[in-house]
Amino acid sequence: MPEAARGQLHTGVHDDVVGHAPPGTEAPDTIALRPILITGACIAAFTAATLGGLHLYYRTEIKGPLQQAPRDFPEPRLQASPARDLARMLAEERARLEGYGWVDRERGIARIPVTEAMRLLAERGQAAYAAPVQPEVTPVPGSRGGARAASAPPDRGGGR
Amino acid sequence: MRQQKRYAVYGRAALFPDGAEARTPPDGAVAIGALDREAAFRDPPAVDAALLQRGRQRYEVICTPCHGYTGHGDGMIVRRGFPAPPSFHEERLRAAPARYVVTVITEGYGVMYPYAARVEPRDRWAIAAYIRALQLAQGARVAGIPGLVEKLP
Repeated sequence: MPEAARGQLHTGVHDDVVGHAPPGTEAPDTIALRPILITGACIAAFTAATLGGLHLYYRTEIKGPLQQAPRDFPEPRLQASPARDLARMLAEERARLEGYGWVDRERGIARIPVTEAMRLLAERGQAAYAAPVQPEVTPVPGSRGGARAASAPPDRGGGR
Repeated sequence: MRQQKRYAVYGRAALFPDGAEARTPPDGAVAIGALDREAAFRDPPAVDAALLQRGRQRYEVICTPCHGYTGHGDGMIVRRGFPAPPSFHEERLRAAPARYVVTVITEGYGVMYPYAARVEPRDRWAIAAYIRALQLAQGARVAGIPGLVEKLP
């Protein structure tokens, strides 16, 4: 059958519901997977390459001769979130105030909850005012007695 | 109210022999409540649970911005750059008498200004007692407290 004559011959039974496809041009029973997969892979590869390229393009910075690297200022820095800082400080202070723990294991000194300490002191009566280190020595006014070195936490020294 | 018969501040006053409007109290005058305050400052109140609780409440309201909740002298404004007060847990202040703490609250010390105007004498003693509790809580001798060893980690 010549190629031009295809579709002209009404030899077979045509079903109107299916359509007027000429005989001999029915869709094949199987779908060719290979070209679809290759096309999909090409699209995916193209998208990935584009995204990667854009990412590089936006992230690349070229340093000028006057440009300085960002630096950290010494503490105390500006507070990004004062409420969060306060909540963190309160949490750590409460933990130190309310837990048991060793302070100096060799010398047998430990930390107890302050409510427990208050209960112990209330039992002592007037002796509760007595200094824990005897004999009592009234500090000389005007001298800090090396207080700064003993009290200041080392990591908060800057910025004063 | 502005227009009334009265002497102007520091004005002349013919009524008084020295001709001055401002009067000084007579010799021996005592302000109302001054003797009670002096007595409360001089004599420490009895230590009980209520006094310590009061001391804790006053301490956490007034003292914690600088001295911190544990008394290490690392309150929030110290962390933000204010000069650090001494820790209550150093040997010098563990040996200081309670009256010294009350005196410092009354008269101020270093960059700490006097708190006499805003802390009543009884509350000063309460704070001093609570500082003793803090010193005990942060530096308890294990041998001196029965049953403590089992609770330690």
